Amino acid sequence: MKLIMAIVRPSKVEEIKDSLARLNISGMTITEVRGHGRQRGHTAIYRGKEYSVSLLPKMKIEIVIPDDMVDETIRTIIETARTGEIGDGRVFVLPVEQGYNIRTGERDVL
Amino acid sequence: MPPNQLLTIRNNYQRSKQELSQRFLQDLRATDFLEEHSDVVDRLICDVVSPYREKRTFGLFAIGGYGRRELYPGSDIDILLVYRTDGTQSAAEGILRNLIQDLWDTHLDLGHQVWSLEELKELDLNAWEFCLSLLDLRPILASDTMVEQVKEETSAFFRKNSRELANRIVELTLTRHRTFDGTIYQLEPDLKEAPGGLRDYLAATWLRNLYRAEGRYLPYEESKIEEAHHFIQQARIAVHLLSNRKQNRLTHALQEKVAPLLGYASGTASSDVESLMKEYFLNARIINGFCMSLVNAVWGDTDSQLVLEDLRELSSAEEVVQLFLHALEEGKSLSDFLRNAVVDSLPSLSATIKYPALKESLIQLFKPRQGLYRTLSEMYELGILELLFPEFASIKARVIRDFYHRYTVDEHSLLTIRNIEELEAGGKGIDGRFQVILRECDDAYLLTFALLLHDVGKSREGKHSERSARMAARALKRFRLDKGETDTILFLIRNHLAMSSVIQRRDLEEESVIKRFADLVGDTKKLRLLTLLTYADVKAVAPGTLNDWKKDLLWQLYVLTYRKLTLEFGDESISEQDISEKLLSELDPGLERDSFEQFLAGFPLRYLQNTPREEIYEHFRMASRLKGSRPVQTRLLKRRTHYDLCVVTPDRSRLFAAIAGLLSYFEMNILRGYGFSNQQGTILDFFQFADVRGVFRLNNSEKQRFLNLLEQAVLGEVDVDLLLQGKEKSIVFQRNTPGFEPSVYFEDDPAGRYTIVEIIAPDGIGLLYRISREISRKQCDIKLVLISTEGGRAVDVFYLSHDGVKLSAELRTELRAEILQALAQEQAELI
Repeated sequence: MKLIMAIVRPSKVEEIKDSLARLNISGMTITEVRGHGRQRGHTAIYRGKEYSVSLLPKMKIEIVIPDDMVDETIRTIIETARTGEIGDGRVFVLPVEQGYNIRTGERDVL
Repeated sequence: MPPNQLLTIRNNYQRSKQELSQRFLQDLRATDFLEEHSDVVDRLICDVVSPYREKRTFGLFAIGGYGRRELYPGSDIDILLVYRTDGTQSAAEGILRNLIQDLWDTHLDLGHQVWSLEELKELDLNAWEFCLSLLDLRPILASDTMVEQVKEETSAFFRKNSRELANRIVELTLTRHRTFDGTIYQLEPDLKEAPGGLRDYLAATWLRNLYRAEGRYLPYEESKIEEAHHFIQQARIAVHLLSNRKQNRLTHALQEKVAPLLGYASGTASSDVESLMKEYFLNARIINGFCMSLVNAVWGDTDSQLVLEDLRELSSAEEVVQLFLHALEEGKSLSDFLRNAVVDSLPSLSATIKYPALKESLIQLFKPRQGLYRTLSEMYELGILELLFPEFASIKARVIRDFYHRYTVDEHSLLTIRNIEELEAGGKGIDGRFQVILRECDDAYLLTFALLLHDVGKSREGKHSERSARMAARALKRFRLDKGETDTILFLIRNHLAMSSVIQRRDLEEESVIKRFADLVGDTKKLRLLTLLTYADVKAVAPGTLNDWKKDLLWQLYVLTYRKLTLEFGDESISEQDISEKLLSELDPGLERDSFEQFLAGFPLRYLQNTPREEIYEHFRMASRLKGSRPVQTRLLKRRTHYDLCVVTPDRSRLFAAIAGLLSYFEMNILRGYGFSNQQGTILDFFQFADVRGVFRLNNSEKQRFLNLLEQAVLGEVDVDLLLQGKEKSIVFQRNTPGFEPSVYFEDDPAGRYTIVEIIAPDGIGLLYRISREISRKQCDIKLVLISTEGGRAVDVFYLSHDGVKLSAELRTELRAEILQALAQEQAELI
């Protein structure tokens, strides 16, 4: 099992959810986050004054999937999340040792 | 329900599904699989639900595909729970909550709807998806009274709204088709959603039930439609089983696995896939035809159909061709009645057909004009085109697996004719230059003959132009076309790849290239027709294949050859000295004469002759700045179809490779590259590339980062190998088409100063970099590189010299080995 953690543009979340659903991936956790990458934030104007907005709003999508679906999942996320402009986001892949369903107490067998 | 009981139910289901799958792989009976799979799920649901039904407060129904007993291995299982509102509502809600939780714990891909009987009375067309799924409603666990009540409500709804629902189905169908460019021809078709897929069949069946369209002309017999449906069902089950999930796209990789599974395993993997896909397209055509005939029945526009009320029967082929000619001239397609008449007449026609008598009608019919594609397609669909040209039958639904041609060979041939028709009609998006050529052709009907038959030789493997010409010769003889007409058509067919080959692989600025091509064509009439044929042929490969770059090159070759044929232009010899003197005599006052003279010394004629004067001055200014701190100068200009990059630097090895590598890193589509050097050893390297991904357009800062990195790469301060690794290792850039063995060919250019090396290899990021790196290692000079990509296949043509002369036999052997090794290494790293 792997945990895929994707940091994406907020406007892309729905589209990513739909394309992941086509891979039969429906369980996910989505969190509002802030951060910056190479784009290092931008300057915004508020009431006539310039402010440097260094941390930009992004969404973090976390999903746990079997190992054999990793490539296809990453490809799908990137293809959907990519606009080509700086600030499209990042995808990380982390190993997951175990997973449990709290209600039923079952351990994931993947 | 206790967890262990659920576990048993789950295991039983998995076992039954496994058995069904095994049986399907043996007997390939799709209907049996789908129905029995649905029965297995019925039993599972009954097991889980029965304990909750003591009080009979609700009923459970299957809807959608499950309702039709058409349950694929990976499909969602859609159910509808209906409860009564007579005072037991809260009790029902509590029960249903627990029940649904249990169903979820069986790990079925369940989609559920919960409605009260009251709510069903108020069904709304806005919830069209749900409404449509109710068309396949099937009770699983429900009392007779409830079944009756639910059926009553839904039937009343359908009776009342049949017209609107039919309209909605048509709308949805056409919208869905548009997302696939309205064509069944998909390289990796979606078996469910694409035109010709299962949804088309379903839409047609619904329309037939909702909108009684009896007595309509159906393009195929019922049994054929059922067979076609069964084939697509088989393929979808196979795809679900192989990918172990709800995957509906028959991808390239899956095509290779599905072919042997469905019994296409007689030849090589590639030919088996071609057979599978041929069968797919034949069947998809039937399903699509079935669907569209019902779509037209609902939305039919009778004004666009030709009606001839006094027509009794069609007794000769001449009458039939005249009928189509009449329809074409009226801008209409045939009515159902006429279509039936044509089909009925077909058996008697083949016995009595007199080909020579059809010649004049065909010449009239083949004149390019609006509607010709539709008329020819209609003739093909009804069997008339094959009657006239039996040669065409050999390419019926023929698939060539080159990951490049999107359409089957027959459809591609017909589309080429549509491209000429569009050129004739003019309008938005039409290239006026080629329209002018078409207007200058008096005998454009010859083009239609040539386009129709140019690929008939593709029925077999190998080079097809000559075979097509031989088959076409037989066809033309049958109609007794004049010798002149026949010769022109056969010339066009035999040479239909010549112009593409020259523009993609030869240096148009070489006088000898144009001369040789002009000699081949011979006269301007044939040149016009061949240019139009090439335009139409390349455009019909796939949307976007004929891009502006290729159009410009084709136009350039046309113009240069035309001038050669009419004026013998350019035969007077001009020397480097003549041009240098002229440049010096008109020298920009800001430039220093002596240094400029030194700069010019040693550049080849090609550079001096073909570069605008202002450009040469600018290159000189750049070269003058080299003496500063950074011995590299760059200039990037945006053109209409591409970017022009110029890099000036003192002689440096691997310069070309570094630039190519960096352009790949920025995902630029490199079109061509060329370089010159002078006696001082100043190098001018030029690259033309397209920013297809919009990297520069979308990110201003990236252009500067590119230029900075470029400088560093040229000076060896950045390791291009390392930069490219991140891309090469990413799954995003890995090919989704199977690879093939690369090949390297050598040829001397006619003037004898260069060796032309043609490398055909699977396309991939950094390919040009790897090849040019090997070439630099062998100390070869790159004069020109032409790059083209056809699907997953890249063709890179290098003009090389070594110490100012062409490559020796020994050097060729070494270079070939090094290039092949570098490419094999790349393959190995990717695996």
